[in-house]
Amino acid sequence: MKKLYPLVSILIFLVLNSCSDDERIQDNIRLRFTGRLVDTEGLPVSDMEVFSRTEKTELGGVLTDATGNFQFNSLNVARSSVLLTINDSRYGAETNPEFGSIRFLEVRSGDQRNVDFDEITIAKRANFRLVTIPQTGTTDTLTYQVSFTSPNCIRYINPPQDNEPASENDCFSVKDLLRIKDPKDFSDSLTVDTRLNSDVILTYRINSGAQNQVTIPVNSKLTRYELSY
Amino acid sequence: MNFRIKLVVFSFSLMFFSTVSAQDSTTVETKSYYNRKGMITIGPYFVNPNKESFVNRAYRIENGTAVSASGYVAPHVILGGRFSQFKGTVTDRTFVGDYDRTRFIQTGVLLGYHFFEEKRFQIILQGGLGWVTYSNIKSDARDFRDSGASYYLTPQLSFSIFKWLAVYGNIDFRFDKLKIKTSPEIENAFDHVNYLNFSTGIRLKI
Repeated sequence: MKKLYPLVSILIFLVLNSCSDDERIQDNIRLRFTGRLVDTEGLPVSDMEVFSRTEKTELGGVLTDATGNFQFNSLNVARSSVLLTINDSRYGAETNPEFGSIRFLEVRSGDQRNVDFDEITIAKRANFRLVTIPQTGTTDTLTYQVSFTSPNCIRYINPPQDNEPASENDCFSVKDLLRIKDPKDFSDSLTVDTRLNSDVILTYRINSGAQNQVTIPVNSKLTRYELSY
Repeated sequence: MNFRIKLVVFSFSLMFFSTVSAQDSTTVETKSYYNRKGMITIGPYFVNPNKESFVNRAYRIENGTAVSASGYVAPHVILGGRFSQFKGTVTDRTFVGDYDRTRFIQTGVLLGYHFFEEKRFQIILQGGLGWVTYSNIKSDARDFRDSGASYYLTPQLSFSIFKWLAVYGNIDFRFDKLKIKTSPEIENAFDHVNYLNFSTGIRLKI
């Protein structure tokens, strides 16, 4: 049995090594990323960190200049997907809370060395808060749904052939949140991040009554709406 | 004045003053040095990459070491090998990518011709070709390398102190042709590096 230990060790080493190989940085390659970052009104967004990376490793990055332009050279990985991230907090980078995030997947195609993103639109972020206030002693049940536009964008640039890219694309899409509020709950609130200058649609029903719909414009960074029933 | 240039001037001055001070010395024979079997040189390596190259634009370079060993294969002709290395810390990650530092290693063959010898001075014109590895180090252990061929022409002036020991100074015209593939816009900065390097040190004659 002891004779098998070296063999097993070698196998474990090979397996671990083959896993880490996916993120191995390719020798003798530099990619070049260029583009321009603008907000939803077409105005340039400056001093925003733009990174190329994999899930685990940063490959390159730069801050956008005063005209929103960025250009930088990046390392490349052999097999893993190269991402472009802007204002994305999930990798520990500093973010600007005024804006949503951008995450482009599989940005490189084949032997491509120059990736030009042309114009990238980043959405301004707003905070929408819905406060539901029941009257004292009510026995009503409130069912409501909040539909809002996400300030974030995830998009496949070069979707792999054997994948379902549509399920991965999630760019400024509309999200729905459904809540049912029991009579025992007194005051409650729901907070979501949405796009500035978008509409939040509140659909609600009290008990099994008629469905009501309210369109709430989100025109400031902190928008609050109170629903009393 | 640039520190490297000062060092080169200092080295040549040292050789000059050594000549003057050695006028009365009888310890050194002035017979042909190429009658010896060969030589080993070792000394600091002062590195000057061309301005447009990524090495100049994105690194803070530290001076390195140059070593060579060669033997006479004919009365005036030497053949040997050479090794040089220096280090650099990345200062512009937007230009080269996200990593920390690089060790620049060169290895190659050396062919030289010993064409001038007077009193204690010798001049050897040497050149050769070899390969370079720019070993790039990234903090999360995802190291990688850039590599290519290296061509060099290295005229060397030396001054003998003893039969077996000389001091030398040389200029190193070096051209590293790298295999780095990148966007055409920046290809010029990455696919080759021209160096005008200097080295000075000691030469052991064997």
